[in-house]
Amino acid sequence: MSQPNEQNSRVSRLSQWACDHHVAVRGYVMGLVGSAEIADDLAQEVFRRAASARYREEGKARAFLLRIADRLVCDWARRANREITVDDDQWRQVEPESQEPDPRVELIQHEGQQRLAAALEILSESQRRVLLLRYYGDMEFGEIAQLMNCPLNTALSHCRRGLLALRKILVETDE
Amino acid sequence: MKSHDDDPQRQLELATSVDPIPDDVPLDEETRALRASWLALSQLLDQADAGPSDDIDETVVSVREGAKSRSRWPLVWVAIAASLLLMVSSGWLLVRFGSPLRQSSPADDVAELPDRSDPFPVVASQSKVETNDDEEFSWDDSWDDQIAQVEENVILAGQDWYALDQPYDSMSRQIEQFEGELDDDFQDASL
Repeated sequence: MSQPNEQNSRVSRLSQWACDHHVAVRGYVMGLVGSAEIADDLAQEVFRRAASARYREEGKARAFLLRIADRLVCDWARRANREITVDDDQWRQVEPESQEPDPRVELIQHEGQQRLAAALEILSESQRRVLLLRYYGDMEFGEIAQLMNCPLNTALSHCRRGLLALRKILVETDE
Repeated sequence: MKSHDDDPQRQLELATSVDPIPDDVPLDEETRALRASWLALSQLLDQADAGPSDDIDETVVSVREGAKSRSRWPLVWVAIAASLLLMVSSGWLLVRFGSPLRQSSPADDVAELPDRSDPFPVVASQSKVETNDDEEFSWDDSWDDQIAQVEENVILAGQDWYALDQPYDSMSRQIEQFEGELDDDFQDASL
């Protein structure tokens, strides 16, 4: 008798996770794989695995999901046997066409996507992972280091070097 | 101004903080630079994530509910029906035409040829060697008769089963060559 209740609670929890964290999970995956189609597939796989995985409610569902997402992306990159790069055209696909597109908004979004793609492209894979986990997961650096299976100082170094590299392309060009 | 060089973790937590930093918290120049980069990246990521959230959320939830109610029984019934149809049609073909393997085996057909009581007249007229139709093919026959009989059968096979004529033709050529050599030997011996 407890199985249907457990199943219902899983479904409701998954629905809640999809509403609360899908954007973050997909954005994190998208930032790493650079393809909207692959990001959609992997994000769906994240929630599928999360539904079947054991989870203890500790108020860190997003970190839990991002941990699954990170492993999936690493597996995908290993299978694809290639560097994780971001393509400008693929970043354009992240924004679906609205019903009545405003040309000015589209132009701004397009420029933003181009800048984001260029910014992520100059980062190394580790730098991208640290910064995206920090942004989407709001994780502590200790958690990030644990997830990436590296020392804390290494994670900090990736973050610092990544931000310094981004400064050249995002900040100094505006000045 | 306080430097954060001695505590890089604290420096980066400040620089990458989601919440705005209070004014009373002093930041050194490097931390401010890192903070500016972080805010610029956050703004771009925020713009990129602004669009698809609502539609995708509904899609994810609805897809899972749809997958839950999907049944595999129609596929099973279709597979069973196809198997039954295949079995019935195969049985009918076997009854109607007999074993297709037996029909398609040229070795069996060639082996049956000597048993035919009525050889084809066209082949009989083309034969260079006179053969007695009443005599049965037997191992006690002379070499020439045996060779002639086999050659006739080979020619028959080459005409009737033209699709398989290449190996028979090569065999026929070898037999003709063998027969010619025998004739030459007989002529040499008689001289």
